[in-house]
Amino acid sequence: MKFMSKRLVFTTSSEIIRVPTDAVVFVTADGNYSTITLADSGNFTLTMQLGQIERRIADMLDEDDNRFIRIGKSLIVNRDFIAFINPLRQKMILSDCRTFRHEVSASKEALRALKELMEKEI
Amino acid sequence: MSHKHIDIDDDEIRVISATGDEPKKKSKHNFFPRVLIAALLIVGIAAAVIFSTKFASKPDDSALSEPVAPVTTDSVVPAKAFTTLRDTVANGTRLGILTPRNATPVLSVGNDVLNDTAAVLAVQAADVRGDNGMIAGTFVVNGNLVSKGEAKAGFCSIINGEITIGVADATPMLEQALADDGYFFRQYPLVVGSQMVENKPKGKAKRKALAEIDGEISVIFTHERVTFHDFSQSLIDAGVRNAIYLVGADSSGFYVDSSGVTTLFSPDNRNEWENINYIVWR
Repeated sequence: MKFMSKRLVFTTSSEIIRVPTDAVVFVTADGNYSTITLADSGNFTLTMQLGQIERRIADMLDEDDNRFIRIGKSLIVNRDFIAFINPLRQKMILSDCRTFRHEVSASKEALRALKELMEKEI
Repeated sequence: MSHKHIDIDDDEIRVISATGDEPKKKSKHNFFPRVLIAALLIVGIAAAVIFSTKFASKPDDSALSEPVAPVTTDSVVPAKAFTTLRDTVANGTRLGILTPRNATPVLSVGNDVLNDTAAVLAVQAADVRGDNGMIAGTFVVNGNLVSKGEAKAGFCSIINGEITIGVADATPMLEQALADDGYFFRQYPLVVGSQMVENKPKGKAKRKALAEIDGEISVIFTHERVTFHDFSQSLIDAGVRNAIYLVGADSSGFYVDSSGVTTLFSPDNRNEWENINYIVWR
């Protein structure tokens, strides 16, 4: 049985952050910090590197859950919110097409690979 | 968990899963076909350019224009508010210039704004007196007079979302703020009509200002500790026309950039002064 709002849990020496998996839009890296942006446009900044975040996500996901995609060194996105990719402009829009819209950037090669991945899933 | 998750290049993507897939990387086998395609493209483009130069009566706009983005959700989703950050150096001082976009300014008393997810820029506005914990100078929130006094000649009024910065012991903008459910606070004047205003405090601190620059209202801050004089001069050199001071040093506040990432002004970011107040854009 699957729970509707399974939570990702991140703990540091001083904090615990519990966020519903389907509310995580993207995670960005800034050196030793990572910021999780949520569907309510709120965010949490963690004293964890993006690689650590990625491993935590992999550990907590169900085996058939592959919604999160690491893009280069600085970004993890939830594929459910990918609304627009333009590799030439190095532009991607993450949106639920109702209440929020975030523009993020990545390398052309990575976005080209992501576009191909999305096209295969049509 | 395997450590193969750690390594990834900027041109790679990887589906995160419990099984730990390898990165999807460009194959070396694709090198020669890519070179061939690129060479054919170059030849084709060159031929097209020669042809259009010699024979075409007018240029082909479609070949010059940017591809049209297929997503146009702006009509459904309101323009997203965010804050831009531009760095510059003026008078030897490193300045950060924060300019809110698609957002409306108001004044707010209390630290609730620090949890306001709709806010994209919040900075402490008026000083709080150390002796009695009251706000220094006249302070109006939504047409209500919260504090009275004219200790500082600089003022900021917000009426119908429009900010006015000026210097005056008495100004009709106060009456208008009271009449039109507006906002008003007082601070040290720094720059008036691109001219410096000298202030008494001589110490050094990290400084912030509310400034009119390039026809826009921005919050400008220093990365280093500077005197009022040097701060005012750097603002003028940066092109500021009018500016008043904002609470500096380790004052609380934050801004949210176009990616939705929040940056705090100070590590703990929660000064617990009574009557702490903010100018906030949301």
